[in-house]
Amino acid sequence: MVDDSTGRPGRAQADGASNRASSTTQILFFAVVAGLALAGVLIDDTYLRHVLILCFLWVIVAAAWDLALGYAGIFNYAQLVFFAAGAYGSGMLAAKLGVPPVIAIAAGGVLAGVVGLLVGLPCLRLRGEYVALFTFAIHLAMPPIILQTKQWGTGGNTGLLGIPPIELLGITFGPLDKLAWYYLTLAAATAAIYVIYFVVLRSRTGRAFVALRDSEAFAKSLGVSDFRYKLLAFTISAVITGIAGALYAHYTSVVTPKILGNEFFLLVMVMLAIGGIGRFPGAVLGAFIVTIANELLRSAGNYRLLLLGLAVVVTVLLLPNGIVSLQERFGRRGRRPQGAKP
Amino acid sequence: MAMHQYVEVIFGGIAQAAVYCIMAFGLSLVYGTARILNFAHGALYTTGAYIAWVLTAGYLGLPLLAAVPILIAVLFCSGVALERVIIRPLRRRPDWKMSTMMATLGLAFVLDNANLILFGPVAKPMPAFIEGTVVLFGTVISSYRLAVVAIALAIVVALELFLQSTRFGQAVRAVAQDMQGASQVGIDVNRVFAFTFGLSVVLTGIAGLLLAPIYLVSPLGGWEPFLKAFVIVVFGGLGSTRGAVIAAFILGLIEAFVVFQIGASWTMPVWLLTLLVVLMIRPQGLLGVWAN
Amino acid sequence: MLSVRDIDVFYGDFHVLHGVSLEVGKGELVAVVGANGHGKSTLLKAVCGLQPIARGEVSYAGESIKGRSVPDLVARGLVYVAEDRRLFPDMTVRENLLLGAFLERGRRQQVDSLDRVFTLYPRLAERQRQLARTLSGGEAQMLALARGLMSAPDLIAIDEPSLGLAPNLVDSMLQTVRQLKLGGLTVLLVEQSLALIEGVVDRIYLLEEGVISTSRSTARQATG
Repeated sequence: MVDDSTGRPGRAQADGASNRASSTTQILFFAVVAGLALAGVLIDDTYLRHVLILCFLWVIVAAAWDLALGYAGIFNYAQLVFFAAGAYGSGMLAAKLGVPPVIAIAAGGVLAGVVGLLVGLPCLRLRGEYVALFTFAIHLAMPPIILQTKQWGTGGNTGLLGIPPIELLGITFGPLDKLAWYYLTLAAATAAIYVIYFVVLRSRTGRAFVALRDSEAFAKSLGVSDFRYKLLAFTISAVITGIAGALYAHYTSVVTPKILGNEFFLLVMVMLAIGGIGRFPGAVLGAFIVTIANELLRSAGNYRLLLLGLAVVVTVLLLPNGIVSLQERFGRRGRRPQGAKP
Repeated sequence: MAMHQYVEVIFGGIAQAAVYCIMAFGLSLVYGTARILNFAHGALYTTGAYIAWVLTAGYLGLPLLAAVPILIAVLFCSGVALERVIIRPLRRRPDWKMSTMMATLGLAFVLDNANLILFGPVAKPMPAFIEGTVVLFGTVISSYRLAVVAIALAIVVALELFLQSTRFGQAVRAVAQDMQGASQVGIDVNRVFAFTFGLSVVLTGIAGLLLAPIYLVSPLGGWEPFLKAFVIVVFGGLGSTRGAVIAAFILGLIEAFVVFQIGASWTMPVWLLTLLVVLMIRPQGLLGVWAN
Repeated sequence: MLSVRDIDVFYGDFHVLHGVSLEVGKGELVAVVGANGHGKSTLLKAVCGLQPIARGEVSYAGESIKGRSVPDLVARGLVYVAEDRRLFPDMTVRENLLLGAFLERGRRQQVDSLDRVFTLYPRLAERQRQLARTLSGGEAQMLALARGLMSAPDLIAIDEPSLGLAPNLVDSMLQTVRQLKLGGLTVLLVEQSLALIEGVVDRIYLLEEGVISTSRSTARQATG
């Protein structure tokens, strides 16, 4: 099958190293989760809990995007469309049709998966940048479409209001029950990261993603079906993002077209730029850093988005592979820098 | 539909298309030569309109004829600087495609928010430089729109002439067709990149100036024309400037009829649908060729 | 005229050339022969500025040229002809040739050079208005070499010109190269097959796995 050593030499080396360190990473990962679980009780500040809840939600989106963009190498810029599909789907089912929120969230994930599949299908016929253009066009065209479909219950410009709270095991996750939400989103983020980085990417499927990213022609010659795997990457990424969107909808109890605005798009992009694409735990760290920084910058008004944009440009220029590369740069010397042109 | 309505609709379509055309031309030129997708193209459109506003109606009160050369110089230099500072360092990386997309998107947000901070959220009016109306085939049309069409078409023709018959234009085409080959005959590829970036920023800024009296100047006003330029460029085939010109007119006319028949808010969905159909039939666009 | 001393070249992470040295004298026709993937194309690209040199020295016409840009080298008369032609597919044959004379050096003698390449290749003169993408493999090779000549080179480095040519065309191509040498041009040629060029060139270097294994002069036989 697809062997890691068939990729570009530099990457194969990195993958080999990460495989050896895999069990350590896994232990470290669960240690951090346990630490955060403990911190949930210790932190007795509603605002702080709220910020961490947002972190957990965005971690899911960033990780799912990382799967498609960083590992499968698909220039997909419609990630927030999946997020919106999950949020609107689940929110409308629960608020308008009275579907129990837990089922609505699952349905939101499925709906996002379907949207992912639909966006992915035309992309299979496209190459490289055409995918970027096409998916970004879909992203930009979404808000007008939501406004157009107001009569179907999307709420138009004012947004979808009154999304009911989740009820699970007799607990009602009201918007003010920060502790309950803290554990719920922590669990969701843990599951998402585990599934993406420790299950999918370590499986044959994950290796096929990377093989297609590094050399599509070569991977195809080994019998890797780009059709199947690209659609799979789109769909998995969309389902996970959709569930995050659905959770977000029930957490804030409101969904507006703002989730498809520049601000959210920029936020997730900065997370990947700062964290580092296609390198665990880059996207995860990026989500934490950016969410917290974004909260700290709340008082900066319009300067906040300016600074976020600047952060993207500067990190892309000065820190090519995000902050995770710092550890590589200072931790493991001796790796030759990749200077070759593609 | 009466005759004069047809004329009105068709003319409206041509007027839109002509301006999208120069915007898409720049986008396509940069992709064609440097293989870079510039996501800041729309933000630069807005920035161009704001600079024009500052030079004329906003602060300095210069006459348009004096303002335009300054505008062109400022935009060209910004384009060259943009290529030097942001794009060129990224080109050496193995993942330069993704890096340049992200960097230019980041730049778009920087420019948008800088404009918002500097000029505020309220749209700025820009006076039209030609007033009045003319009658064409029994239909009343604003002289300004007619002038816009004429200027935009003149720009496109001038650009084609430049690319076809000047030495530097030949060099630009050579880089677009084979980068290494161009280098082998002694063309300084980096200079061509910088030049095309400068030129594309000038083009999008001029488009911003031309449409400013019609749509006003607002901080996020560049995204819609950018998205349209995007669709035009993909439709016409990435990197093919002629494809972009043809696509601009097809889509401009489709837009005019959609607005006339079902309403303005359906423009974007219809554009997307058109794009989808075209890409399914011809994934490389009308006149595009796959990049190697 | 060209002197390569002990160069190391990497292709990405892959160490392709290990301490390669070679000399080309003025007016000489020198060939580097080796199997595919042994680094002969990389060597030529490194000499012509298309591939960075990690270690070692390259001098041309008495000056170090390591790290200089391709256009700079073309301006000094060191011109590269690629194995994959690298023509401008959507331009006419004539436009391709005129772009060969893009720099001042070539432009000064543009008219004479054009006459010369049309005498050398009457086929190209006939097809002046045709787009380069419509040329046959043999014609494309002619155009690639002709475009190189339009730059008015002192030393022309030709990467595997026989690639993809029919056997009868290979022969006439090699005769053309020989003719260029007799006209005073210095030529550095890369080829796969020793047998093909043995009687045509002055000296041969054998490149094996990124190392020059032997270098020898070949007896010049009359080849017609």
